[in-house]
Amino acid sequence: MKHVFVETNFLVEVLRPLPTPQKRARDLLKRREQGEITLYIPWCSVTEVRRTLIDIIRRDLGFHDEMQRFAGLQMKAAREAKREAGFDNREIKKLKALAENATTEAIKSKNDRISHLVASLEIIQPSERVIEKTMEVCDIKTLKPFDEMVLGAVLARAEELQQAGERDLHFCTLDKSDLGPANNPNLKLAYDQCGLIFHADFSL
Amino acid sequence: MAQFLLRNTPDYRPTLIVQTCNQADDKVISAFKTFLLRNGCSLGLLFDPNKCLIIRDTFSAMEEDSFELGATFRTDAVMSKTKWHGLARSESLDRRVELWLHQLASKWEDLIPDDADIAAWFYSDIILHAAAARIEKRGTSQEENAA
Repeated sequence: MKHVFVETNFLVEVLRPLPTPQKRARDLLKRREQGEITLYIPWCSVTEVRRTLIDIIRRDLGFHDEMQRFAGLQMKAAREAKREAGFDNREIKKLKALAENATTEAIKSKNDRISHLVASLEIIQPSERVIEKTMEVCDIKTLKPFDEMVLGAVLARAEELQQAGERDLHFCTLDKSDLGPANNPNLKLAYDQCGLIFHADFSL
Repeated sequence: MAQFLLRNTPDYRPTLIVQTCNQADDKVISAFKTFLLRNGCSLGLLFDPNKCLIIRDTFSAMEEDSFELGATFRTDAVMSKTKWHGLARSESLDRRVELWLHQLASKWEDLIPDDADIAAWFYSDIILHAAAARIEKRGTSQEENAA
C-alpha cells in the first residue's frame, strides 16, 4: 500500500470547476477509491480550502463580465462603422447563462463537496507531535507559517508510518518552490530521514 | 450616506459597489448607474432604509442605459442573517450595511437569507463579487459624482 501525502493544492485541483488535466489530481483520488493508496492531508489544508475555494471558483468561472464587456465594445464598433452584419451576441449570452449556472452550482455545493472529499482522506490532526515537528521546521527551511504547518504535519505523520515499518511514502504537491527539496539539502535530508519521496505533481 | 467599493483582485476596478441613501428614487438610481459605469463595475446594491435594489450591467450598450434593475427586496430581508454583535437595529443604515458587508466578505455562508428569491441572487451574483473582497468605504455619492 502506497501512503501519499497531499496538501491544499490537491483539494483545490479536485474541487475546482476547471481542473488542470496534466496535474492528474482526480486520478490520484480514483486510485484511493480503488484501494491502491491511502491519502493523508494536514488539518490546516482543510481549513484553508474552505476559505480559498471561492476565489478559485471566481478565477475559473468569473470571466463572463469581461467577455460581455468585450462583446459590448465589438457591438459598439460595429454600430459606429455601420456594418451591415453587426455583431451577433447570441452565443455570448448563451455562454454567460451557462457560466452563471455553473457558478451558482459551484458556490451552493462548495461545503458539501469539501466535506465529502475530506471524508475520504486521512486528516493529520494537530497532535502534540505534529506541533513539535512544526516548531522544528524553521531549522530546516524558512517558510511562511502556513507552509510550516503543512510540512510539520507531513513530516510527523511520515515518521510515524516509517517507525511502524511502512516504506512506500510519497508527498505530492504543486508547491515545489516552497516544499520541493531540489535546492535545499536540509529539506532533502528531512524527507530522506522519514523515507518520503517528493513529487511536484499528482502523477504518482 | 456611504459608498462601499469591493475589490477581489489587484485590478483597481471594483467587482461590487454598495451604496446607501435616504430614498432610492429615480434620480438616485440614475446617479448610481452612472457611478457604476464610471467605475467599470457590473453589479451594484443600492440600499435605502426600506428596500435594496440590485442593479446590474446587461452589457447591451457601453452607457448608463446598459444597467437594469435586477430585483428589489426589503433591506431587512437582505441583511436578515447579519450578526449584530450588540449593534442596535436602529443604528444608522450606513453602519448596518458596513457590518453586513464585512460579514459577507469574510463568512458569506452564514449570510444567505432564507428567502429563496434573495438567496438565488446571492448564489448567482453577490457572493462571487463580495466573498473575500477588500472593502473601501467612501463618502457620499453626491461628493463622489461631483468629483
